[in-house]
Amino acid sequence: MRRTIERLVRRLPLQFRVLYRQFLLRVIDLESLSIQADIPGFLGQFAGILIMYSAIQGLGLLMGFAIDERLRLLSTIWSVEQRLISTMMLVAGLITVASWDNIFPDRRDAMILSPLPVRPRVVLIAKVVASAAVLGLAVVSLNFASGTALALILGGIPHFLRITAAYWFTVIAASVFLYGLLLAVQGITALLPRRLFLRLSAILQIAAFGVLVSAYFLEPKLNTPAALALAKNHQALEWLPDYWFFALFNQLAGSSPPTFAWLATRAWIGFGASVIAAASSLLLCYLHTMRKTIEEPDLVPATRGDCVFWFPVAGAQPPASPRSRLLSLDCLSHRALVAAQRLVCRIAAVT
Amino acid sequence: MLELRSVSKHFAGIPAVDRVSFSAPAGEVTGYLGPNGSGKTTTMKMITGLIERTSGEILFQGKSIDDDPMAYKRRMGYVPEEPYLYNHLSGFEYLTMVAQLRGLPVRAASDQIDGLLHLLSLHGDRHASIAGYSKGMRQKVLIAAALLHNPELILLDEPFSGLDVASSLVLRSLIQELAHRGKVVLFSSHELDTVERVSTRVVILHHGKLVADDSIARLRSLMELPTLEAIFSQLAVEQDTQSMARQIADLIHA
Repeated sequence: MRRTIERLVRRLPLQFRVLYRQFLLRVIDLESLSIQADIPGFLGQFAGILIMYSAIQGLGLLMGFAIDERLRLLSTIWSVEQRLISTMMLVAGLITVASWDNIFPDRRDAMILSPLPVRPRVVLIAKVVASAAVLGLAVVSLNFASGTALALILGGIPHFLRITAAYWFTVIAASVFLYGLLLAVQGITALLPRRLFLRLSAILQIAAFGVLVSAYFLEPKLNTPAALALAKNHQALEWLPDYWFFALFNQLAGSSPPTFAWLATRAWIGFGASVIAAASSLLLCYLHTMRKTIEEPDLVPATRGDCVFWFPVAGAQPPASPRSRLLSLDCLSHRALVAAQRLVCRIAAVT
Repeated sequence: MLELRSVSKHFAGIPAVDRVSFSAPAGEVTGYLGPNGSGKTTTMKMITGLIERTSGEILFQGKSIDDDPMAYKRRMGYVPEEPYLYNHLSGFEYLTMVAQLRGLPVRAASDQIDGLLHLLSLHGDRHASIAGYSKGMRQKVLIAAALLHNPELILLDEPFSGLDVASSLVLRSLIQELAHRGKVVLFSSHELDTVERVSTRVVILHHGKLVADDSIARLRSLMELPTLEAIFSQLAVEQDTQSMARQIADLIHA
């Protein structure tokens, strides 16, 4: 198996492989890397944490449903399905937000790679594939056991394959939806003048982080048949993508009541729109943004009143320069993301 | 031969480089001079293909560089003014990456990198992270990366920046040696003394426009000036430097 993978990898163009390797771990943390870093080991540890979480979840599900027949109630099953999809979307979103600055080639990449005989599209594809690979690894690791357990509980042996396929398609579609959405946001923002983009990008990154975490913890629990059927909840459901994909899973698994159809349709539309938006974003980056990153300066000297001041000015101190504001926001978002990353690792270690 | 034909670059409508035409022949070192903001680096970036020109044509060995940009880049080595490097890599790793991206054979490239690092006095630090390198060490890595594939066209934008005296002397000789071996060398620097020693001809830019393009000896005789510094001052320096220096000294003294 390993040899087959190696053979397949060797068939890829050398430039792509070199750049992919170069970009891969920059998705996680630039400082911990080297071209000779133990990439499989590093990614293995990352996947290990998620697999452990998934295994505990899957084992808990299997044991719970085996011991207590009452858990087989539709409301409990729906609650489990929705929670799994919602958690997957949170993880996918957080990984995309963490790799926010590494999805598109930056000024350094452009300055280093442009004089080399490397086509811009190879750089762009290597970048995107590297960030998508980490996301893919997370999707597989996080659903490896829990997805299998859910398929066994829902379909038993006879329907295992269908439900497994439905589940995997749903989690992949949900992840692609979020990844594409965030890629599109970045791509559209990158159309702005570069200095404005850099300022806005850090704010958007931290806003996206906040939205993802707060949506996960604060969204209303509507995963019972009664709550889903209530017309007054439909307005909320229109804005909760994890419920769209929950409905999509049930549609694909063949267990969806007709009242779910509109939610599943939203998932299909969201998925399609997100893929198109991401593709357009990449195209824009290739045709417009990559060249702009070299031509337009990152930062300019501070001038009063050019934008909102983000930090209070004490005494006679001058206001924070755009550079320091930019760095402060970057640091803030980076620290928040690293703290979240560590929290997840600790929770996984404790459980 | 490298040839620029009426090359212009406008940023937001403002010309940074305005209809510049000159040629840099093989076997000679062409010095590219100009005050800060005169458009030297912009021209270099246009020659490397880093930025698009607004108008004009750039030819190398008689062919437009746009005809086959990848083939052109394979024949070009560029030392940029800004030392952009992947700081998380070591010098050896960075050069290995560049060699791989240039498609050089692995073993030969590895020996070549080792040799270059040795000659550039970086061998002891070859496995240290570039983040810990001094400015001069970074500059040496950039020089090694630009020469690794034995390019026909060598573009050097402020290559002496951060180098110590010994390394500067080596680089000075290296530039001449490369020109003697038939390479096209375009070399931009503020060190007029070095340019005068190294270059056979100079191109002087002022406010994005070409103000001189000739051999140093011919410029000296035409302008009846003894040094390149005097020629440069007359063509591209607007201020009275001595009076300006006096004003600064007076200001800080007050």
